[in-house]
Amino acid sequence: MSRLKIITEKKSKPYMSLSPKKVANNKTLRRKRIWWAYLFILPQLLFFLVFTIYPIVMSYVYSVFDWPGIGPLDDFAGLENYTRVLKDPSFWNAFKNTFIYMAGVTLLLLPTSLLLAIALNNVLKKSSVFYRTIFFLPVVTTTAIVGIVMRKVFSSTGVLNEFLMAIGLIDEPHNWLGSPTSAMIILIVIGAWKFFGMMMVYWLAGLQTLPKDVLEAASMDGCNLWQKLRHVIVPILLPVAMVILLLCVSSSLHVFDLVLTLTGGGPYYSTDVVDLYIFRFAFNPDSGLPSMGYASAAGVVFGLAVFAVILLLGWLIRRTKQS
Amino acid sequence: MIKGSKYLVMAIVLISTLLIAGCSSDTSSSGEGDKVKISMMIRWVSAADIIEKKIIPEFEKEHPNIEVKLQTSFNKNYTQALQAAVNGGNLPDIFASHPSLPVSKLYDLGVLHKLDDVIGDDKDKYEEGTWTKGSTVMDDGSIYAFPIMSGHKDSFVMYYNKDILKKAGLSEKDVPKSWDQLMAVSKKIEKKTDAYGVLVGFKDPWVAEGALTQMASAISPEVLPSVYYSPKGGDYKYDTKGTIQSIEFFKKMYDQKILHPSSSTLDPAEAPALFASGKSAFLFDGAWTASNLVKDGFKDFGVSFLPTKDGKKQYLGFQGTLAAGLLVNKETKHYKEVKEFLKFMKDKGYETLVKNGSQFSPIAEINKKNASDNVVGKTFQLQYDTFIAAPNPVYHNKNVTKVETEMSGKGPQKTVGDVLAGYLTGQVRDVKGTLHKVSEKKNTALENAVKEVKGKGNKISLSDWKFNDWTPFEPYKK
Amino acid sequence: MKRKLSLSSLHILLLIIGLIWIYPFIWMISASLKKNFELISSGLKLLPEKAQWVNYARAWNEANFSGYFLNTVIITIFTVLIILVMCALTGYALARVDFPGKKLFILVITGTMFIPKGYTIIPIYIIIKQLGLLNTLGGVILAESSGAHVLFILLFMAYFSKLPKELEESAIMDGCGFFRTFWSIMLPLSKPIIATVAIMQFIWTWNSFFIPFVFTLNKPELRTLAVGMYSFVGEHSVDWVGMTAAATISLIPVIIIFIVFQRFFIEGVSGSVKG
Repeated sequence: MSRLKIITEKKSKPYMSLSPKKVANNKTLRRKRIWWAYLFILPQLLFFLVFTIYPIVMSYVYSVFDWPGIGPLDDFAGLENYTRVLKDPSFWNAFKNTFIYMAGVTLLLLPTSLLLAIALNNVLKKSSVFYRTIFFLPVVTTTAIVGIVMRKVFSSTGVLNEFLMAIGLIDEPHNWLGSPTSAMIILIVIGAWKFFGMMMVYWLAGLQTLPKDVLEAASMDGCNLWQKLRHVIVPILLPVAMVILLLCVSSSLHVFDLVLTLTGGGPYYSTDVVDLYIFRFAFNPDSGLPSMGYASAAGVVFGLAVFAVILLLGWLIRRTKQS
Repeated sequence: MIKGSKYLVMAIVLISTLLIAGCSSDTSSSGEGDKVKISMMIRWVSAADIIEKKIIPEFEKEHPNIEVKLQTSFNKNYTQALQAAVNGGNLPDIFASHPSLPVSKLYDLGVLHKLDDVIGDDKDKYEEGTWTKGSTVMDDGSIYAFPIMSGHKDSFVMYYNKDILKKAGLSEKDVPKSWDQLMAVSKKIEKKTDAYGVLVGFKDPWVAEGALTQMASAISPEVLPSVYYSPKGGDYKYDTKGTIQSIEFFKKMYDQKILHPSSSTLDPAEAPALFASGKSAFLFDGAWTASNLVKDGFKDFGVSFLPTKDGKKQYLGFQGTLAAGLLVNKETKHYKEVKEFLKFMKDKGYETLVKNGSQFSPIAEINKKNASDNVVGKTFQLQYDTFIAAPNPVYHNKNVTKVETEMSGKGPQKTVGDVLAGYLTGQVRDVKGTLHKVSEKKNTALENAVKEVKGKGNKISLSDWKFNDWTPFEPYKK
Repeated sequence: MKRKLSLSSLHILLLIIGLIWIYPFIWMISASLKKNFELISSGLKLLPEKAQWVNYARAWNEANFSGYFLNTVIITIFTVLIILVMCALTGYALARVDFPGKKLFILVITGTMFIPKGYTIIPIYIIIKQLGLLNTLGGVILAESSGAHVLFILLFMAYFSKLPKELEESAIMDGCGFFRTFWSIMLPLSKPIIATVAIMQFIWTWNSFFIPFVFTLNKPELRTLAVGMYSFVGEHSVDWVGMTAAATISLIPVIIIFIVFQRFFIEGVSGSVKG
């Protein structure tokens, strides 16, 4: 175990600059490196400012106007949109559902996809191309088609009911997506299924940061899979895991297409999510002028709330780590 | 290995650059001759097919120097695309109207082209109410929208499967007119065949609501169905006897398994397909469905009015609103050609559309002559007859459009369809109370909007919403 | 022996799960050979009554696939390249140089993952218009590559920071400058990440529907396959068989790319360094 530790530490230490001796010898080289770094970041920074920061700023601007999405911004509304959002119970309902969905998907997805990635990376190397392709296919399957198939599977006359009735678990067909309690559960399961392949690929990429000799050393030390996981894989993967966790959280907080095609937010708003709520106001596809200002305000409120939750989570993780 | 991948990247860049260069030179060289290209974007499925395959080729034959580039966008992205295009000044030469971006708003922004010279002297041939101020004719008295379909559009009807009726020993005479008859007939059908009685797809609750509100109009005709506007009261009323009893009726159908159990999770396109495959005897759906059914190869069906409580008459109010129109970009570089095309649409296009089973045109004469006598034509006739001219506050005061703009997004979000869905799943217990709250919210939004618009110095008052000279079922004359 | 047994039971388990897993995908392919109503009424049956190959011809012609294919290829390749270059450069700088403002930069780009991105395409639309790129492939490519690709940057960063410093030192001794060290030595080593980023972005851009649609409003000949596919989806009626056929056609390249590129995932760091 001790040998293992040395390797791990040596390899996992982030490499930030040249060795101190050389740097001391050459201060200009160091300054040059910094300029190079800025130059390297420049393209991304430009794109970031123009295509990310600017639209975000604009959505803040829209949010204080009564604006239908077209024409000049000339009807200043102050904080009225915000007070309306905060007072709207359907916003909070969508808010609650979004977090339930996020928690469900994340809890279901993170461990299972990691396990499969490890299995493919270490145990099933030979057939891993095959399995990776299989488990990745749902990611590329068109969401609209997923909607049709899944609504068939879970409908009252669908396969699931037939199966459950055949094995005697239920006596009467249940309309899984048509009843408020089960609709959310099914939505989470399908969301996790659709996103699984993506997570698996991210984990596989993350596993590349895991030096092979460490694992070999661990195997030689006679570690079993669990010990390897606990003492070697997880600690090294932690930074990548945090990124993947963030990704899973942020993408499931912005679930939209899948809900639209599976339930449309129903029955009676029981699967309504924030992005769907915003969409209804921003584009009001049925009738009447849209209210982009209000939609933007709802987006800002949601964004700030999510940000607060993430900060809180980060703080909690840090606290538990320290203690 | 290292070098290999570098070359690969370079090769890809090179090839793609060449491709792009090739493409751009391609497009510039295809501008041979003096062909004028006009772009057009529409959003109506059945009309798009006919326009693309019949009308445009005919037009291009007559005008060999013009090429019409048609694009279609049938789904919810149309509003988004249009919003962006308006803001970016990138509208197509001709584009479809959409209720989310009212003509009056686009006119205010100065992005629309006048179309007076397209309509010309034919103005009087159009059905009554076409040239309502605020819908097609704007403040300056000019026409800014080219109506492509009749304003009597988007009613709900009941389709029946003839084969299933026959199997149950019934004939078209037994097609129900009242709720009790519908229940009785459905029960008979469910006993004798393996089909359900009624199918309504309401994953998107507006489909069920469309049928429901028309049924309600037979009970409470004093409130205009679908818009829930009460001209006599000068306000909005959702919690009418008609709405509540109709919701109760849906519940009854649901509880007694007359309604197909999958109804609540079917989307608007799936329900007709299940109906066509014999899963139910009746289908409540929009009039647009008939042509879709026929197009997909199902012909053995008939159509009738929706059954109402006591078999009484139902209706929808026609308030002079534009159902489907073509608008022209003010910045178009080829107005002359656009005008030619719209004139062609008017002189020949309407006829072609009606003949080929699209919606009725806004000119009654053309519909009479060309409507097919099959079930599609019959459906559109039923739809046409469902509409009765009704008051619109805009008739009293043109500032009403300003109030409507002000109100948007501030009224109730819950629709009657939502309440119905919630009641069926048990999430809504108190239908009357819930609907009452919806009414309150809508009326508060109206009052606030009127105050707001008035505060900006416009002449407007709530009394503009009141019509004492209107009787339900009697065509309203301005 | 015991190990072999457990391995094969793992295989059986994965195969069963895998079969259920890809059922919707197989259903999509079978649906593309059915008739429109047959697809809805036949439930989950896979075999069509009679294979309707015409659906494919229709999808190809009506959705203008022959015309859109090249656009999709160009847009996708350029977007993937732009993003690869940007993210690799950024990730490398963040991993190997301790420059002032680094922490702030990481914090800000991570933070924007959660801040709402603006529900509206309007600001980006106006920028592209001001660049004079509306209704051009260039405009679509720029809009597609917009945004901060936080995950990709962080993946590159994590990967580059794990590469041993000896590599860089020896490169410098060989006379390589900062850029050459990156381009000729470090970048080729990051193949697993390049493959991941390329695949993910490829799929995303290939299937992207809204941006190509909105940014080519006045030049429909510049549209992509996904836009063509959605032309089968109406508000009240859907040409499902056309849509599924179109989806199947447009997914073939994605799957090929995935199968070809994914072999890079398994090439670990140590392996690449040695080879």
